[in-house]
Amino acid sequence: MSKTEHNETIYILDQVTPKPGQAQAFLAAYMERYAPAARERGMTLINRLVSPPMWLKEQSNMLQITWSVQGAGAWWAMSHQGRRNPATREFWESVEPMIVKRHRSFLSDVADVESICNV
Amino acid sequence: MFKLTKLITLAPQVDDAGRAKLESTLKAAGKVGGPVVRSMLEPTLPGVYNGGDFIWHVQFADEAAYGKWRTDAGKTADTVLKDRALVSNIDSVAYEGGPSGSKPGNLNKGAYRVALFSVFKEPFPGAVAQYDAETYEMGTYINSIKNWQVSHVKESSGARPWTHVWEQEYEDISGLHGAYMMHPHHWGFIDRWYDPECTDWMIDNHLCHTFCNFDGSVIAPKV
Repeated sequence: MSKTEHNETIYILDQVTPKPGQAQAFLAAYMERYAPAARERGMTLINRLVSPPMWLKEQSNMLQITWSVQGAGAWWAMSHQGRRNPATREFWESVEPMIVKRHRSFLSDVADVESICNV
Repeated sequence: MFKLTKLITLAPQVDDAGRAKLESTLKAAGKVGGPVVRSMLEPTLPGVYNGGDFIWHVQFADEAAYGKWRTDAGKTADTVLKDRALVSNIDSVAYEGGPSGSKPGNLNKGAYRVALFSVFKEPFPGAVAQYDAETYEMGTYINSIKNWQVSHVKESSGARPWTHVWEQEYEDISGLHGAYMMHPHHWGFIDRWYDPECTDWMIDNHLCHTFCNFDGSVIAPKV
């Protein structure tokens, strides 16, 4: 592994557009059936944001759920544990009927880019 | 250049004589000259994943030369490769060398790594072409990768119907275990194709990741 100690904060962002009126139900499923195992593999929940800030009945809300890990090593540990656990994949498959679209991305503070790339 | 790469796992009971027979037969079959342009037979290093005990790599000027070799020296190699007393598993790919890159310095000795991947779906039209381009880009973003090539498989056998071969050469194995794994192009960008949690997931999680020492590049343009 790299000799440099990398412990920059890496953010894991789930952007989810549930079907109209289903944002609360999706979020409840996510917190009950996804979040506990996520915490067990080292993910720290940063925030859960919803737009607009009210629960729409006839249209879709947009949810942004942000987690973090510290450093690329922790990112790989988190990711490998998720892949080894069939429940992770099963969760995403189970909520697919509730979702219009979703996207997962990985981010950092722009101030950390130089350090993260210095490997 | 047309390439053949086999990841060979020895049978558990194989003794030194059996191992020597396998090595000498494969070295003879891969001897440079005639249809064979370059070849390499090296034991894998500790830490491979579905990587076998040996990497056997043979290169030909083109697919026709490969076909000719298969009916001649390749047949001799098959006699030991199909011997279950010597070999328990082979993951094999034959492929036209795809886009490749090399950095200044003409690295000709160090650590060679090859990965075999199996794309099982295309999540959106053009995804495979995008994946190909991004995989190639790893060589341009990650300093420790000195020579690299991503190729589509024409003939495959083994644990999966392999679709892609991703080859890299490093000055030493720390370039693979360090910068390659730690660079954000890997974990923060391209890994989404491999991640069942990402909607771009399209590569089977069963893959071959293997590496060995090399003396004589099998990726850089032959001069």
